[in-house]
Amino acid sequence: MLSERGLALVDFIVSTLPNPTHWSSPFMEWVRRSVPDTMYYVAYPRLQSWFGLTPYLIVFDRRLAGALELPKGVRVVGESSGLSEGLVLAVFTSLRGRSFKYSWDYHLSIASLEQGYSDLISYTPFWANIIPDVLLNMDVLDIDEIFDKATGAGRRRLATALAYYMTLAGRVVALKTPFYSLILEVRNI
Amino acid sequence: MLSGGSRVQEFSEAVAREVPDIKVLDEELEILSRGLRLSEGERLDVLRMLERVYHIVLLMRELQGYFNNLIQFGGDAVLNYIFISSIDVPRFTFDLDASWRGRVEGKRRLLGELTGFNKYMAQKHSICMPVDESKCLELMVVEYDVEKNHFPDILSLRLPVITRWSGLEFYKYVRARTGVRMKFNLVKELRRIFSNTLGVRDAKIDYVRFEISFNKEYPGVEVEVELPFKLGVANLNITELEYQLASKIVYKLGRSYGGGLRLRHARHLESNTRSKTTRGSGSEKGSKLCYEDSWRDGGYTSRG
Repeated sequence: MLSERGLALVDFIVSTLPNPTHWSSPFMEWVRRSVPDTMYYVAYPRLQSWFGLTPYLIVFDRRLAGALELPKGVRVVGESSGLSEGLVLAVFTSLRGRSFKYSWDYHLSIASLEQGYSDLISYTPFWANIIPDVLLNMDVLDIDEIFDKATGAGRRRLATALAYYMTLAGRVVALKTPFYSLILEVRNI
Repeated sequence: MLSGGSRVQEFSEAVAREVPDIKVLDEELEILSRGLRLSEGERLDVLRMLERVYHIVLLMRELQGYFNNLIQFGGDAVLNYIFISSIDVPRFTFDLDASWRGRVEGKRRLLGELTGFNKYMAQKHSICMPVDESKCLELMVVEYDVEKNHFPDILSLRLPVITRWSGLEFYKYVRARTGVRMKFNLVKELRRIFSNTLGVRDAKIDYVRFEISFNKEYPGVEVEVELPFKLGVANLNITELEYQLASKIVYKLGRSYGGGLRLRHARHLESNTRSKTTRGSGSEKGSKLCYEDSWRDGGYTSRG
């Protein structure tokens, strides 16, 4: 039997747990209703440390391409230009080797921390907004895993940002990935 | 422990490639000492310094090779290791001064260029020191020297290099920079590699510091130079020697530091004045003084 103070502590801990109602948007309801949980996952910047609307990326199994009629407001990456932040983006690709699991809090399949950042940097047009989260949380994130899971473009974007940050801040990070060879060279002077 | 023989082999080869052989340092010492007889202690002192000088000269060559006409060198390192060394015993200096020839909006823009240089260095002088089973720490890439960020138009930079004698022991460096405590087995294996390739168990990591000033133009000239340590021939952009000497007179010798102070810069002036007064005499032709011979033609060469 818990004491009164113990119960208060339990109540406090329960109050800090994520609130699934945050995810009860019409689009998320559509995803829950229409797509098998093993054929999609949601990627979002879980360590977001900047002001602005949180972008969401839904990664669908490529076998669903053409079979799904996406709701209004969802854009498939690469099919339209002029995308703005806060929009829900979708990408159809192979889910082989992807790291995600079903969340009983959100009742959605959610990407792992590294998989989420890797996809956002690889596929979204606002990838530059995501980079600071990675750079500021290098102690938390497994940067090598982000490299492993990113596309070629994503690897080059992250490598360039990381190399510039390390040169600028004089900070050193030990990595498995030889990222200096991936730098995108841009003459900016 | 380093996993796999290829990884050990790769790192071992990189160490042997990027750290100057002791014979190379010895030969350079012979050239510079000009027959002076040094005691064993003095010889080791000079060798220790020459190891750092090697990295300075290498860095100068690579910066010039990558940036071409965008960069120009001046200051003590150029005077001592390129010019004075051909006529007299140089004074050791351990930093490299350069200036950026183009317009730059700020330090961060210039650092963007140096990120590209890092790619070049990582491809050409790749040396990644293992710190655990899978990760490694890239050395010989330029980083911003935040501790020396004093002036708005001078970018202070540093290049971590492996040395035999100066700097922080490799495992202490790794702990200080990344917070990673290397396992004893790995330290033991790296010690074995260093012992076999460099002749010292606890190799060290030291910084070669250099500065790039920008938005200030200096009169420059292109010089074909045979670099010390058999690093080949390079076309270096350097600030005109006359300008450098005049700067030393105006900003160093001309300044009052109080009575009776002997200034180190007097040595540069003395050596270079000597070289200029003998130019064209022909008496030293064929010797290391051919620098003066080419002076007449409006160009410079050094080291004969």
